[in-house]
Amino acid sequence: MIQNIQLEKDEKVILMVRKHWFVLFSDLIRPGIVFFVPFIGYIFLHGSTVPIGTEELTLSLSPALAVFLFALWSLLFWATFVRIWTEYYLDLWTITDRRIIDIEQTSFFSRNVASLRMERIQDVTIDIHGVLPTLLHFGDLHVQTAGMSREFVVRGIPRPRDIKNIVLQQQDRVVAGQKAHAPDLPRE
Amino acid sequence: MITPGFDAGFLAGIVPHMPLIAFFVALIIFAAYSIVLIYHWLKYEIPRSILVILIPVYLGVSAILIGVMYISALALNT
Repeated sequence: MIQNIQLEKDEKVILMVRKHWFVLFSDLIRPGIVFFVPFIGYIFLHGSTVPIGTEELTLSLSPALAVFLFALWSLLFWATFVRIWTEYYLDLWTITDRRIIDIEQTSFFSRNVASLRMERIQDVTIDIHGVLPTLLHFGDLHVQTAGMSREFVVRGIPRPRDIKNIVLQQQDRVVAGQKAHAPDLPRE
Repeated sequence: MITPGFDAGFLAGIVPHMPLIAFFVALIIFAAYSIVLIYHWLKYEIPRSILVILIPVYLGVSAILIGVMYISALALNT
């Protein structure tokens, strides 16, 4: 994965973070529920009769057609689950000793790679809302940059407090290094 | 006898084969989708240790479902 990020000379990767597993789970749960709906419908409705005027219509599918449709439905959801996992896996946040690189895979052929230099960071805040994020230790991380209205937001990141500390430590190191190497200004 | 054009004879000829036609259409769409998916796995360098599990599991489950679809489409193909 790191080969896809263009690192600068002597730049070191400190940490690579993906979203928390619960984010993947919550992305999968909705299609997971939808997947079972036709199966449940088939169990309850198969063989039942619906009155239409004076006639009665029996709801039934031939076994071969039912198997065909269920296999097609399963294939569709199998492909969906694998796509969701792929998007989860390719979403990556990398902290190096000089910058933060945010890779966001929104869909196939839609990838957003943004980088933010440590010296531009003004403020880092974390946002943990709800029972599950508190218990499972995940939340959102907001990085505010200097001179830009844009804010870096990483949603559903594990251990946001630790990651915030790592970012702030790196930022302090970069700023201290810049001050040490800054030329002395002539005094008036 | 199947005659060219969408006349009654053509439709009468094609309708019994609809399950197999639907199967092959689904197969082509799924194959194209799978190529795009595996291209992404390889392009963005998902580690080899994950790929050796992921590709066989993905293709294996898909093959089972496609096989079930094919057998049921043959059964429907009158």
